[in-house]
Amino acid sequence: MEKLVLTGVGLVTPMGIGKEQFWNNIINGTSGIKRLTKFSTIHETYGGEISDFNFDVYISDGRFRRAADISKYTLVAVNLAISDAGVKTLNDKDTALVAGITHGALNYAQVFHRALVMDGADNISPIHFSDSVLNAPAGNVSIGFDIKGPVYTLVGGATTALKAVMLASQMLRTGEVDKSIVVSSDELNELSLYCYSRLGINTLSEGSGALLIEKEGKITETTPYCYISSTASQFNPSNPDIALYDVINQCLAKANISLKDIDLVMTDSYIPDKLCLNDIPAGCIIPLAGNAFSLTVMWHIILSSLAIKNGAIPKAIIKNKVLLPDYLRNVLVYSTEESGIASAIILSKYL
Amino acid sequence: MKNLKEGVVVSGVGIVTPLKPFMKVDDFWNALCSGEDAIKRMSLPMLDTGRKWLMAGIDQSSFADDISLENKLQFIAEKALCMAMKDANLRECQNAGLSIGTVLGNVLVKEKRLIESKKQKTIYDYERESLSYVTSYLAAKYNLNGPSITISTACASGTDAIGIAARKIMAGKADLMIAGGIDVLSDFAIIGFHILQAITEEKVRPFDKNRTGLAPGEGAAFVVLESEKHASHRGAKVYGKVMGYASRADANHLTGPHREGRGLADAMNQAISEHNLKPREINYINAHGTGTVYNDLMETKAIKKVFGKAAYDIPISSTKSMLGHSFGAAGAIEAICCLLSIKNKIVHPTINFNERDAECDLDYVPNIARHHIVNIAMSLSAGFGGQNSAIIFGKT
Repeated sequence: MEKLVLTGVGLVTPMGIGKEQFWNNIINGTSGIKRLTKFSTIHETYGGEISDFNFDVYISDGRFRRAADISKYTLVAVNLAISDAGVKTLNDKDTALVAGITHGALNYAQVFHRALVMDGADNISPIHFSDSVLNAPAGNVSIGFDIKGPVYTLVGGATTALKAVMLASQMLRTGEVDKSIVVSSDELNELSLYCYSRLGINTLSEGSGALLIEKEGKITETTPYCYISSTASQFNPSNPDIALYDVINQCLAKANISLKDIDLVMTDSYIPDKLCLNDIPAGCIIPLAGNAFSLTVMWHIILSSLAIKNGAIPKAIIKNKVLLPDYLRNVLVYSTEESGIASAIILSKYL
Repeated sequence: MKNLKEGVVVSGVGIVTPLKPFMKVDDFWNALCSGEDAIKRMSLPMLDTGRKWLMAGIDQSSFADDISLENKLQFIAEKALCMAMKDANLRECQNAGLSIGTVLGNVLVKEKRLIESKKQKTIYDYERESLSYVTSYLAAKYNLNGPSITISTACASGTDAIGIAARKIMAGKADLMIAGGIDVLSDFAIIGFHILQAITEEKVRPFDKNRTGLAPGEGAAFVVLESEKHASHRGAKVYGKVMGYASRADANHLTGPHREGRGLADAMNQAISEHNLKPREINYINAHGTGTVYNDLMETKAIKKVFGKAAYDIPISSTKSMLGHSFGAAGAIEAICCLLSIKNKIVHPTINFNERDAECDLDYVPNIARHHIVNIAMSLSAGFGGQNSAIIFGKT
């Protein structure tokens, strides 16, 4: 089976826009969490807000100036990923786009409903409808970059980014497309912040993360960040630990490696003792960037690929006390959801 | 396509629509073939503005229990899923997954909060508001431990949920997938299409010269997909085989289709080529057929582009002429219509068709169902974001 490689990354994060800013802040342990300024009704709430974001610097196409924040973040991240891969033009029908979204354009949906109640059905701006639809970010990217292949939006919790990578990889492996862009995005919303605080999730985040996946044999423009060695996902509502155990073992088997070959684990989830991962450095970006669910997992994938390429594990994200190796061959990224879904990916050093 | 190991068949169907809801699939099919119109004037589900809108809603009196608006989606989804599982005579399956397409998900839970501008108060409401909630709920309740997918590709969601599920089986990721689409009427969808001037004030008349728009609808529909080997091993009855699927984007406009049907034609061509079919082998098309001026014209152009002169010989019908546009559910409902056409050797009509449009000049099966031996049927879907999908089913 032909190997898949990650050839481009794009980031819009509270810790910077673009891979250089993001990586430097990660290495330096610079937090992107600050007091939120987006919502005038909210006081003393902190999160990973995208600020100092000038959309026009990255996207000159005037059609998207009124788009929802989530669409703008998505467009910029994809633009950065494509540029990063050195791709000058996308062969439009041979490129797939898969988006993984947790919440979507809640702010426009809120404006829509407020206008409906206050001003009546005939006084709502059409964009507050069209840009609220869950697949609007992917649709805007398809329009903006002339992507005419399969365009999908998967929705759900944190594992959605991994499922998006799996779907994108499947389309490459079956020969349906030559390139797959995977993107995950979300935007902060004031009505949701309250509920999450009740769930004990106090520091939310927003932004976007995009990556370009290609077949190893087809790349010409760039040196890849890493191989996508394996992916797996499973649903076991009665025993989520078993689901996680199974997907990690499936990933290891598919990658033809063992647990001792994993040098870094990136996860937004817990680490059950049974998994025997405790001797491996375990990282999480949430303390620095806030939690954006599916998007957080996408950031973990991108951060892992940067770490592999740079040959360095950023100390600031490591949450357990273990000795950091001075090499980085394989990174395991996994996530779980309370419903019992577990998904994982192994990224490996490009040789 | 390479590296696709398994052929995929459909072994069960389940459907809940405003036509004969909660009754047998045959009752639904007979009503559809009789040209029954489920579209009527109704109030918005949430806000009472005093205005009545044309839409196809599942009559509240047809629910056996007193179902709240917020529980409606989960209820109809579960009913349709159970119908499909029962129809497939499904018992235990080790590697079964669930794939659901939805545009709005449990929108009424979220909508109530947004209309009242309320903060979420309970964790339960938060969970229910998630678009993937119904998928997780049904997968857990019916022990579907395989791939679990919630997809939102606007009005192509139902078709894409089935297509992606079929691909999972073809790629050997699952032995069996239950796949379909779900959506309920919401103020958001009705008012949204109203402000886009897409909702009709008269009858829904797909492909008619005097068509003026769509009517929103609701429903849930599922198919049981399994590998040919798996179906054969357990002696399952088979409705048909998945003979092609593709999704292609217009890359043109967020809410309007490409005027020449570029993306839809690409999707059809790709789906046809997947199993090395020839266009002339397809002898029924279930159109997206919303009844809007632009969709129906674009769709007709796309069909002509793919089939050439043969397009004039293919019966094409619009299920939405009777059921309205049920968004995420539509593609799954229409996929089932294709399978029932194959099974029953009859194609349902496009109702309210009175006057031929010079540009929409194909055979839309006007007003009366027709006996027709369907060997290979294609269902088309298109949606916001420039989404276009085509799925093909054939006799086994």
